[in-house]
Amino acid sequence: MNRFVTFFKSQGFAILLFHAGVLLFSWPILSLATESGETYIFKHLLIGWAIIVALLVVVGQCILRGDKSDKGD
Amino acid sequence: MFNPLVVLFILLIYFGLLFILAQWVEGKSALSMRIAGSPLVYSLSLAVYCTSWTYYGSVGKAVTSGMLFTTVYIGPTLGIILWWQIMRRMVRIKNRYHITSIADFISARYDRSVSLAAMAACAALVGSTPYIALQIKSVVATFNIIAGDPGPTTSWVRDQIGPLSVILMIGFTIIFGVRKLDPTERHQGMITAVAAESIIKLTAFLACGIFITYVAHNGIADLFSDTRAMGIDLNKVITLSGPVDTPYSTWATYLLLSMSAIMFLPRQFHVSVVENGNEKHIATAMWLFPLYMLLITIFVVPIAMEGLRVGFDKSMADTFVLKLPMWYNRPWLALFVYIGGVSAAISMVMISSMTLSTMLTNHILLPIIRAIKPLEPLRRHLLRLKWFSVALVIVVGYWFNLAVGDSFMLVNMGMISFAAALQFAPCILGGLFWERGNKIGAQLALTGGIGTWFYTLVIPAFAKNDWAFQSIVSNGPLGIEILKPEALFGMNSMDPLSQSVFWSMLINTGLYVTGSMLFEAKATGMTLARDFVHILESSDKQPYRAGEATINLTSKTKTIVETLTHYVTKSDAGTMFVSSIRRAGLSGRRKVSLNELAELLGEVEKTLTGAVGAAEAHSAVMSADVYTDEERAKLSNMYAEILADLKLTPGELKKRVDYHKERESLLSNQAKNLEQRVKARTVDLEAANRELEAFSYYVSHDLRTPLRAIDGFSQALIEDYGDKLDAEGLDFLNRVRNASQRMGEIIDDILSMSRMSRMEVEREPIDLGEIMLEIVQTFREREPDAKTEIEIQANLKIDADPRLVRILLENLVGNAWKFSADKETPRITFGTEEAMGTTWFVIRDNGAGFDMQYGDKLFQAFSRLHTQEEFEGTGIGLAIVDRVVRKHGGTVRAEGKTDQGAAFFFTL
Repeated sequence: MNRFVTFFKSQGFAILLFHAGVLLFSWPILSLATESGETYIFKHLLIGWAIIVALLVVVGQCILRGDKSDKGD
Repeated sequence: MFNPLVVLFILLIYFGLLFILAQWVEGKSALSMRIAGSPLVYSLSLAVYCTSWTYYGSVGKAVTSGMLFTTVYIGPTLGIILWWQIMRRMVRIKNRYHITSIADFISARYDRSVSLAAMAACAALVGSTPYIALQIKSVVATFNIIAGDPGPTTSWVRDQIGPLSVILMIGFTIIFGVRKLDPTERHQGMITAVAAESIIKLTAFLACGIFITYVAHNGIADLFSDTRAMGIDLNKVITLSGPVDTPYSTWATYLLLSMSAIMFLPRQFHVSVVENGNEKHIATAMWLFPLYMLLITIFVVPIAMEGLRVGFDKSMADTFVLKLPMWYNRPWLALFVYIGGVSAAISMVMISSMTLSTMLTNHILLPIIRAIKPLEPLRRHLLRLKWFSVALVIVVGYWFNLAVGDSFMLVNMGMISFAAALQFAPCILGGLFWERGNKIGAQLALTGGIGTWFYTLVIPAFAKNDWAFQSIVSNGPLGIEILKPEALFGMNSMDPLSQSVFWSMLINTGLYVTGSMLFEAKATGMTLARDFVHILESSDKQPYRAGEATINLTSKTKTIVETLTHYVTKSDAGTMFVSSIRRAGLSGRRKVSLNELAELLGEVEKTLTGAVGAAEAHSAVMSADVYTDEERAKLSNMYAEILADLKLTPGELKKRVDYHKERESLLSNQAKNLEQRVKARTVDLEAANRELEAFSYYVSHDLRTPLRAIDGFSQALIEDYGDKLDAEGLDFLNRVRNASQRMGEIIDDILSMSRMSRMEVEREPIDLGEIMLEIVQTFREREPDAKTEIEIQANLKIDADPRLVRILLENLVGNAWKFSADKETPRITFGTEEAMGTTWFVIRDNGAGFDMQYGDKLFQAFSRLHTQEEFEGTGIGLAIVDRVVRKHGGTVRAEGKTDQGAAFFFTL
């Protein structure tokens, strides 16, 4: 569990997620969604966005949890 | 349609309720403080980002540019991923340097540059004006939609809604945020009100979206299907960036601008950095705020589709969200949506104008006032200056709306502001991560970046209404086409916004790096740079300015006194608190620093210790809820900062503590060794002294036998052979006898002194007067003809060794008797006198006295101030007196004057 927390709150994961997010919402991934039809881009954006928000929930909780356990140490 | 006065009245009630909420929070009750200090309020306050631009403009943008509007929220979501690395630094720096605005932040990083602060403040003012204009525009436009015109009696409200909105916005901002001066620049009441407004606007928007999607239709698929059925091609509506030639560059530009806006828009900086009370709240905001943005945009496309489906004109797309409930004849939903829209606009205007007024006052007006002497009295009117600044900012925004507002859709005006905020990014990010970045680099960067932004974005905005600017935009200045603002240096492969961002960032970043590389920072600037860049490494530093009194002592008094009343009566608690205040040197103070508060609590603990003991007092003070979480964190960090200031890692500190402990232990051991050696030496010395005394005793004793023989045989010689010797021979023999007798006396005295030295002091209660009387009687028996008068004070009792005291008095009385014998009326007195704070025993006589310049020789053995012919003696007597007194731990001294007597003072 601690490794999980450490991983999600790490700077490395944040940078990885940032780049993944930028890629997800930029060319060429977006072009694939655009060419697939009217609702695909809508779904792609909302679902991709929701996934990032969900991961941010995990990151936020890991930071808070990590902070508590740091204090506990 | 509502009566305009009714709408106005409802709005006033709504803001009255918000004001009550803000006031309740400012009242600082336990509950209100807990709510205001919660991560939820912090996260919701960040939603001031979602202004009327989001509220109305997103739908407008969705109609004209497809999904491009999502970049305004996806960009911040992506940027927020790095907040724990970036925002935490900014919050810590804010706490350490008491940053009050984004201009203050930049100034603090770059050697506290006044010019940089002024430049940043100007840039923020210019950049925010379009955004404020946008809010005013939305309030005015939507009021005219929601409020019908029932007749001439109320039409003045519709006609004057613009100025009325400006007055109300100025009033609300001053009442909520700038009512009083707050040195911390934190406004928890206002922030809680903004958080409440965020909930209202989200709820209202979701209510509209849910109504359109799930009440008017059976879900999104049904809505899309109905839209298609109306002959609308969704492929032309739901595009990536609308009908532009370069959709991906436009998309990327919007992403970049939004990513920076969430941190560098002055109002966002204010709510996220300045108003942050606990850096852990960032972790909550990192997911709650993106979730908020996702929710507030989720129904944008359905609303846009529905607006098109029911036949609203595309040019009115900004108002679809308000018009649709009215079209469906849901006036109360429409009113709710309107209130949500006003909330979005007002919260943005309040926060923006508040932070801009701080920048305007602190970095522009005050430096001007300082520079122009006749204006100096204005410094005493700082609060009024802030009010003036608020009014100025909002009025200028209103003027901008009148000047160019009609030529822009809401979302375009917002992007001009975003592009301005982006100009802060190189200075701030460079300042956070690049130690080399310096003041000159930042000055060049801001000048170049803001200049390019103004030239490529603001001038074209004015050109929509102004002929002079139109010429520059169409043909370039002086007809130089290569300098056309929207196609600078011939770049026409990007849309105007993208090319503006490209050039301004290229120039801004290039100048920042070049300036920083070419010029060296001053020592102070380098220290600040190091501190900013290494803020996370140097410890969890939060505000620490020991000397800065920012804590309201009155608010703490109640808690402290309540803690004391757990143990003592209320009046005693008050007395204890007052005495603690006095001892802490805080009498008459209303505000104290954290340091002083800690000292005060220390004094309170000390006071309480007297009543309940140290452990209980400590426990009571520790458990008292005196410190807020923030203060507790600050205090903790203050200690950490002290550690950091020592330039030691905790490991090094431990080593040093261990070293000092070891050193102390060594010193202690050495001291013990030394003490033992002294004891040993003392024992040796005492043994040696005893041996020496024994030696002198035995030598003296053994000398007496030959001396007696010399004296005896000399006497026999005189008696038996005196007739055979001539007169000279007899004289020689008499001299031999006298010398041997004198030597015998000396030996007796030496033996006496030696015996006395070997005697241990055995104290017992004695009366010195009685001993003195016995001695005097002896003297009288020895010399019955002596006329010496003796006066002895009664009751001279003391604990002393009677044998030694007798020796002492015999010597002193003997001296007095001897040296006063020649006087006509010899007189000796013995009593006590007070001198130098001590009671002395004193023996006085009226004899020969002595010269005080030789007084120090009196108590030395064999030292005599008179010749043998004047007064007989060996010079041992006073040496014996000195030894007796010292054996008793006392002091002896003498006073005298030649031929006027002497006095001997002693204590035992």
